[in-house]
Amino acid sequence: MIKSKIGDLYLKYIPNNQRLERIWKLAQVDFKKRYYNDKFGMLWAIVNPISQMLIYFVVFTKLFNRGEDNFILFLFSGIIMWMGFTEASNRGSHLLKQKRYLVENIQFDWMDLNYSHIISILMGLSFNFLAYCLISIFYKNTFGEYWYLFPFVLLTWAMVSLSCGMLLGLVRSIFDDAIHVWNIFTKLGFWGSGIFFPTSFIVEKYSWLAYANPFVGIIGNTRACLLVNNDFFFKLFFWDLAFALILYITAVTLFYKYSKTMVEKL
Amino acid sequence: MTEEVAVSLRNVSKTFYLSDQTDSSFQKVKSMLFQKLSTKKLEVFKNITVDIKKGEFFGVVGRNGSGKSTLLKLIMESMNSDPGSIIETNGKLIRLALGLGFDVNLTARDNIYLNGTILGMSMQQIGEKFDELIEFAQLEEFVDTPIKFYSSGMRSRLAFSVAVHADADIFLIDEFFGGVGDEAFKAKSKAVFEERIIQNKTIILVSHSLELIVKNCDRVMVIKDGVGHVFNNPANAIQFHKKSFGRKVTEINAK
Repeated sequence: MIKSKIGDLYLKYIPNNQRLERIWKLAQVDFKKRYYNDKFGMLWAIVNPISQMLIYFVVFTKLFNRGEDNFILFLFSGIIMWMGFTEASNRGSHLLKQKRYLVENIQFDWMDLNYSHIISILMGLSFNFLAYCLISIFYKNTFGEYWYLFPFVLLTWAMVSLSCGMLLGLVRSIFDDAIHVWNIFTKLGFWGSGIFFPTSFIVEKYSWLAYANPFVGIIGNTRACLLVNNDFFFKLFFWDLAFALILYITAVTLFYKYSKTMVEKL
Repeated sequence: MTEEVAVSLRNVSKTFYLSDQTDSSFQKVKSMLFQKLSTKKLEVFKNITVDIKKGEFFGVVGRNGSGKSTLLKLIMESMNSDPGSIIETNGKLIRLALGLGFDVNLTARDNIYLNGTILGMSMQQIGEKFDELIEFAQLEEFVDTPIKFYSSGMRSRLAFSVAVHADADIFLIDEFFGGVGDEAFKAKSKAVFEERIIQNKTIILVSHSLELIVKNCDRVMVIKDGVGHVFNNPANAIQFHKKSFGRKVTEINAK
């Protein structure tokens, strides 16, 4: 007899809802797949961000003498939000292609694939935050004054990332080269989101950029939540939340309208 | 079989627009900027109208490329039908094809849980049926092996086992039975198929196996020249099917 190894303790914490279970299972499998054939499995999920931070530590504190005011934590908090976004949008853009084996054979709401995708990215992000917390202990950093607003900042991040992935997927079904244009765009965004310099600098010098690029506010407010002595940008926070909501509604509407056409063109 | 309709198709049509493709980057840019792309219009079928009743075993036959699998995809709603087409389904659908719904990089265990949750089963229900499902598929020793290492027979057995144990109401079976394992498993799956599925479920079977069609189907649709002909007597359908087939391809210019 084969024993059923459910081992899904987390299910206790999910309401008894079949749709939520489905989304969770899809997300869990998606995340697990990243480390499926690796000998050390999910250990890499924590080793990778820690090693990344160690490299930043060596480069910025030893080579560039930027060890002041928790600069490594400042930098890493911005990078993990941005990298999470690029991963979510890139992988989200070919989600239906990846899951074609499901969409063509079983009838279900395809939007669940998008939700599970963003949850899977959040799982990866949580390991990055764990690494961040471990390094925080080393730097004796405590969370920022506005730590309780972090779930809302994360929600904004998730809506923007999810929506961009869905919209990019739709555009790619018409014009596949869009992914290369998007890659150039994200490279520009990397330098235009305040990852290497304070958000206040962008807000003061290039305020239009702070409103055009939601990641200026998202990254600035992430730091206000995770690092001490960082201002929370309330105006940007509400602006970004509204931006994310509009983007999300647009993306979901277009997804429901054109997702079948997308699958047909795969 | 009841009078209640499980799948209703009204004036269902499907047309594909196929663009020419070139490997040369220069040609691609040139055609994008200066030339009109040549597009082929492929009318797969037109105005198919039929009501398939709950509990009915409905067969679909036609030559390769006649649109049998496309019709199943339209019923699955994984593809758009042409404007004016109306497709209504009443119940949970699953399409049984070789390699059904499986991620080859995942183990049988993960694929079972994944497919089960998508098919509407709760994690608890899957846990309860898990042992039975694996034993039925005769995969006890390979439950934690990625299915990319499975033979096609093993995959088919797993797919069949998942489908049999899932609570789907409508089964769309697309050339599935040719590869379901060895003779012993074929006999077992045939018995289970007749016992559990034929008796209670609605089945739409696409197959080149005319024997299977004649033996099991209540009604048969033959897709010929893009038109769906429905026969109440499967033997008449097969006779009609043996005549010549064709379809219309029109070349148009894309605007």
